[in-house]
Amino acid sequence: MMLFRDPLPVLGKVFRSFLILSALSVFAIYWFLTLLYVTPNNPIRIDFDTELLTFGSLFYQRWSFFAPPPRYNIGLYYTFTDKADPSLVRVFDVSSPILNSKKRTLPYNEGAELVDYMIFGSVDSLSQSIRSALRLNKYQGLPRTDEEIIREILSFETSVHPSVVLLKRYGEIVAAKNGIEFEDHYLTVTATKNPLPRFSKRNSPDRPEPELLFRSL
Amino acid sequence: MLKKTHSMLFSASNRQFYLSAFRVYLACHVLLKIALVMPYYDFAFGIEGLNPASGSLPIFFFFDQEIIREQCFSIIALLSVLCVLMAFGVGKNAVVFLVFLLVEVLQRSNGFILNGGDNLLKFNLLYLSVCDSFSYLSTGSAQRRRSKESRLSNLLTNLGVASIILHLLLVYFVSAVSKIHSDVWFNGIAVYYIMNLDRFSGSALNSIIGQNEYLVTIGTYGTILLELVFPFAAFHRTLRFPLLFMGILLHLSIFYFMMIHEFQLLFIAHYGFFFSDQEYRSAYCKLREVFRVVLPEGHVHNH
Repeated sequence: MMLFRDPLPVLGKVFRSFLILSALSVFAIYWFLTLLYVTPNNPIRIDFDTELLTFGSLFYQRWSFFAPPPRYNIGLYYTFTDKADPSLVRVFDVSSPILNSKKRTLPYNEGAELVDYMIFGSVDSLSQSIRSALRLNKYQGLPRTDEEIIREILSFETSVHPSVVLLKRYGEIVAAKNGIEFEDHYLTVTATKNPLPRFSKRNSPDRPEPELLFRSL
Repeated sequence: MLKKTHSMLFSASNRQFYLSAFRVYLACHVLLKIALVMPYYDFAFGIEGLNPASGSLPIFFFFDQEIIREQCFSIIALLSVLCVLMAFGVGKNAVVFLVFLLVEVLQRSNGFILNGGDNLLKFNLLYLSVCDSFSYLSTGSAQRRRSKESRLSNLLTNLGVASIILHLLLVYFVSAVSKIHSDVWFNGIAVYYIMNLDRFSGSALNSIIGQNEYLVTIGTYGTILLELVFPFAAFHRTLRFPLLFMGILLHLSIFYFMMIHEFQLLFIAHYGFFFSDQEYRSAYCKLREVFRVVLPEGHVHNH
């Protein structure tokens, strides 16, 4: 009898339709959020700020490669000062060996590339963090001095910033490589910005002076 | 229009051949990355390494970063095995999804070493995990091609393929728009700065190119134009060949001049999606005629 037809084929069809509809909905919502996530700040994006924060934690993406490109090269120097005799100071250029190794070991330079990304990525991250913290402080009406903020981020003894910890760990490697007892020395990390000449002055013999990016405390 | 859309969504994908090839490529891509970086994994992920990360992993809260650092070699060994299985199509979508999960875990445990290629790889693996990419180049593929897949499977595969292609087009478009917004790109001199960056100076030619105003301007505007036009012209029957050729040229240039390797190869690997199964079959037949070599009968599935 019609009333007592086997419900399974109908249920199966309903379930399949539900799955198809779910798949299409997930696709539509995912791509709506993706498109919104990659757009610059705009009124619609701001409306979905909370949702995009969650979306970004799962599907972080940034596609503005070299836009803009850096207009400077980074110099990184590690200074080891003897705790017992502060007049004994050794300075090492850390950036050049990494970059030379990257070129020397082409095309299989993944090892050098790893070190490059970690060290220079940390320098970039640290300088951005400092800039953001100073800007936020200014926006909040300067409740703290710039020096306090920089000290909090760059103090090698107390800072928990991942980039500071990483640069400090690299200091242990540099010390070991150069026969220096890390525990018996103070480490200062200095990062400089070596600006590239403006395009119109690219053939000029005068080169812009290096600027200090940050120095650890 | 509605009928055409319905047919596009629920018919078997006409990118099955390249989808299978892409699965194999991604598996090899991850394996190659592991092999090249293996001597340095302890440095990047290990307890004695540089990475200071601690606490639970973002999103994967059940993973403590200390565990990952202690077990980094086991995780990498497991990932290698899964990639081999993925290349042969063993374990189907489950294995692809596990590869995605492990790649994501490793990426989250050290964000310093990532680049855009790692970002795109993650999305490709995610999309691939819902696709039926096992019609070719996998165990049991011949039998699979003979059987009729369900509407749901076809839908997911078509949505997955669309997502892979859409994401590539999105990357190009967003990259182009970001560049236009930047002064040095807008004024045609960005390539000068890029060629003079020590970190990305891959050859002695970099400084020569960077000094020449014609090469700098053509390179700068050419890159923007290519990335801007790509999303709109990639499916045009006539324009796509020169466009894809220029794209390959761009990526190989970045590969050589800027020492950015797997990232560029991954981009180039996407280009196969701009040809359908019928086009691959037709090209294969023409190749057989041209070379008059006894090659196996093409079995690219007809739709």
